[in-house]
Amino acid sequence: MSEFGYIPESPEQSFQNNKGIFTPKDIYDLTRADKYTNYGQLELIETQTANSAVVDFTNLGNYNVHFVTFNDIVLSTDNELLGHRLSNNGGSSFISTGYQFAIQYGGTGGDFGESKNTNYSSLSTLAVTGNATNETKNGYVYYYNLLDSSKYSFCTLQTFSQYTGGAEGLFGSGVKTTAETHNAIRFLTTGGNALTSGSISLYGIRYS
Amino acid sequence: MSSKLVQVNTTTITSNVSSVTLDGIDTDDVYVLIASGLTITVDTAYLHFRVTKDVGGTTTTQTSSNYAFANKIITPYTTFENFKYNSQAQMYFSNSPLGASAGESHNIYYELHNFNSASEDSYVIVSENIFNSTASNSSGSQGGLKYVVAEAHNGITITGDACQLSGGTLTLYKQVS
Repeated sequence: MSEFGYIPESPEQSFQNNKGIFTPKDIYDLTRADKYTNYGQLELIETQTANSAVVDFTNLGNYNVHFVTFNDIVLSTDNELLGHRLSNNGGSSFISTGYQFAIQYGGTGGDFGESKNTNYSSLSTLAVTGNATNETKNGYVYYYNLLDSSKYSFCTLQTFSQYTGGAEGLFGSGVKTTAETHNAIRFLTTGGNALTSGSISLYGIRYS
Repeated sequence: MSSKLVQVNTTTITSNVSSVTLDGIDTDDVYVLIASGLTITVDTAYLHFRVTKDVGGTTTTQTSSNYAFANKIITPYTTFENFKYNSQAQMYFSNSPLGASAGESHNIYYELHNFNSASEDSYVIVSENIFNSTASNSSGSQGGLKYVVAEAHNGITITGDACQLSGGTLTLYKQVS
């Protein structure tokens, strides 16, 4: 009998190449072994509610590409930016220097421009300031190569948020030019004050 | 309505190749191309992107000057650049020379629209972040591309210009409800 209970044969099982008749336990075991064809390759790892100074994701699974959405994030303090940092020790600490980013922004109030830095404290800025009613922050980020110890970690992002000057969208990218494993992500504000509410979801893109 | 990404085609580059083609677009759904950790064999060389179509049963890269694109090149080290053409034979990644040193790689997320339609041009929403060898810095590109021929396209090709691809994973997904 094979590991997955096939009698008499033991066909090799893999994604898009499953053979046999499966019991619920077979499906469970194959899924856990990442060998069952289960469509839907955007896989939720975790959703967290923002209600503290930082929101940390310390389980990144095993993916080449990660996807994060943040929704209706409210900041406790005005004049602070939302940012994100990486960790190389599972979240025991987070790297606070040496990030490079470039952002193109455009606002309903007419403010368009560039924001960039070659040695910043965050992988990029993620949203404009503001903590008044309805000044929420929304967007998504793709992360590349976080868990690859031989490559720099990159991200691309697009967000749209509200501040006192109107609504403002931004898109851009960032990189941490250290070839090492980055196995945790932290969301925080530039001033260190709390994220009051909202949610942040981390997904892995399977087979990426 | 929720949607899923369903893998259509994938390849992991394990030895040097001059180009990579991913086909399998055969429905009117939106498709997504994700490439992570692309590496090349020659520092300060280029990669470019093209579409493919089925020609008598053979997936064939389209090399005519029908690529029109408008992207914003966003970099941490210099003024942003408008990267736009109406009739090129390809689109270069971020209009940048690419790095091949340790740690340096190139990463893209493209949405592919209307590829399966024989009566519409094919559109690509571009989002990428590569490593520029000359500036030793990242170079992002965000914008759009269209292949200005109303015909069906079944995939994409990424080709090295004065280099080969040496590593990375490329996956083509279909967005389904």
